[in-house]
Amino acid sequence: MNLKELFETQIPVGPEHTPLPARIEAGRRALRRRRGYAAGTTSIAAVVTLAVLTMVGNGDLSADRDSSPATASESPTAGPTYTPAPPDEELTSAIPVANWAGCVSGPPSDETSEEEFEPERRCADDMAKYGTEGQLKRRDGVQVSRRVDDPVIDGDAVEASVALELIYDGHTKWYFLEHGEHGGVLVADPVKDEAVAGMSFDTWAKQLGPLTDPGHRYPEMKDAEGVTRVGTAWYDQDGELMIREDAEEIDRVDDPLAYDGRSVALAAEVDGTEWWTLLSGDPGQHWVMEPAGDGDFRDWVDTQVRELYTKPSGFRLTVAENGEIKFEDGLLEVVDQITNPDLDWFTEPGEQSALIMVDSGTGSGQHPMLVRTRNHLFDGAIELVQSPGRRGQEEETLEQVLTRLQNEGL
Amino acid sequence: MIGRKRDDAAYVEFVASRQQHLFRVAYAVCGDWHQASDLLQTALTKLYVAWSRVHRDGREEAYVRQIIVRTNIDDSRRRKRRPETPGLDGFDLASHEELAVEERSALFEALQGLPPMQRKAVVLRHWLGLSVAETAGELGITEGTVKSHTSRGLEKLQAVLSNQ
Repeated sequence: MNLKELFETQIPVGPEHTPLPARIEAGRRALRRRRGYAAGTTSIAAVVTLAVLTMVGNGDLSADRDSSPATASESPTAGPTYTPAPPDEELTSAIPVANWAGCVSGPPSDETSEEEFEPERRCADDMAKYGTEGQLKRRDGVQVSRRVDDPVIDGDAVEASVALELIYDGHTKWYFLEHGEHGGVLVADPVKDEAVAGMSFDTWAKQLGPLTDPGHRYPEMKDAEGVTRVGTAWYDQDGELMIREDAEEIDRVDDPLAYDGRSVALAAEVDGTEWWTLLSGDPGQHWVMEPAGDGDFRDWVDTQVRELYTKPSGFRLTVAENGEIKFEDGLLEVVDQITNPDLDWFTEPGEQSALIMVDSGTGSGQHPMLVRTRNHLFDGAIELVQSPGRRGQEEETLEQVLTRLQNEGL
Repeated sequence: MIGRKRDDAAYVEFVASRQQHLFRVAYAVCGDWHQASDLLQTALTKLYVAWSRVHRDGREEAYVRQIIVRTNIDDSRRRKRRPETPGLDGFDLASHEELAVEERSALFEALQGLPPMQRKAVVLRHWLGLSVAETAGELGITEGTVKSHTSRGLEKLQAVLSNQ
């Protein structure tokens, strides 16, 4: 009796799978929650590039949906706007600017444990949030300048969502709030976050949704070898660009990433939906795919490439031939550097890295940063800050930080 | 965002290519498509969270399989079944009872007749090819118990299948 063969042939295939975008969205939601916990659990908390992600708790915030006329919204795409709601007692304290980075408290959590998925905390410094009944609240003193309702469609998991541009004391933050059992918060800083560099609020809000829109599921098919391929194009094992036979090519930019001919930007239509794709073969493996936007495809390509290789003002780096890192605008100074530290999990083949100590020149101290480069171009960075548990302690040297990263990871 | 997009591509490729097999494994372990769907979704969600580390180590499939098996064991220990819920985006799954008769194979029926730990031991050892030590680690039992479960399970399977 060959049991393995019996298993392979007799265990049925089963019903249809959950759509891939839904799987990804479930993962992203879990990741947002986990980062809300994990940021404070290590002695070094990573301020990851895209944004600071925090949790909305299911606490006892009272909430009042405010339907008053707009005060500050002039966005042509913004939906209904509202004036500041009556102050919520739990949200009326002054917002410490230093805490705007988000929520960094919570118990340690194992990646595979169930506890990380429990929405049981909220950040003390949230500028806006949903109450338990779904009413939108914002902290006293916070102005809402733009708003887009329900940018994300998420079936039963999220009852409502909203994207807000919020202003407090001259600082602007972008909030994406979800209300529901699995609701979460995503916060972006349009000035500091590299992921939203050069992006308008409307664009940011717009890009929150496509993956969960049932009308915008990634096309997938099996290739000649029977391998399931997702998207309009891909690189095969030999590095050859393959484009779906049923894809109608609308526009194409060859090698926009300058990866020795192994990158492409493609506008193509499949089953009535136009998709814009930017991808590369090894070693980069960059992959961006979105439903076609309202703008020009070539402009979109330029933006994607720029996002890969540049940083927003105040966070722009140059890399010298010898690997030395410098901030272009001089606002930050690199006071110490370890070039290509032994942190292989941070880089992929063809990429270099540096662990640098940065001084802002404001007397607020120094902090380390991990920088990744490719072909002497800035490719990504993780800014490292001390968790509340280590504040007040003597600052670590770069060597101590490296040892910690090697032993514990981020 | 850049890193996330890059990771998403690899994650999507993995899920698209392996979810069918993993779904069947989950089904063989628990015997119910609803539960199997829940198990797989739980495992794939956790995989997404841990993707960088797991993908770096090249053990994506082992990780998902472990989550499926351990979650099923935990569910069994709690002695309470999760409420039936539709799949994400409202995708309703066919229940075991709705399967066509031809899909309910003799092997599957025999397998579901085994006690849960015997069933898992047989699946891990004789379908997925894990060693006794690996199976013991995955099930959280001793190697001696794995051998015992496996031999008894195989014996029952053989008896049932030989009568078909």
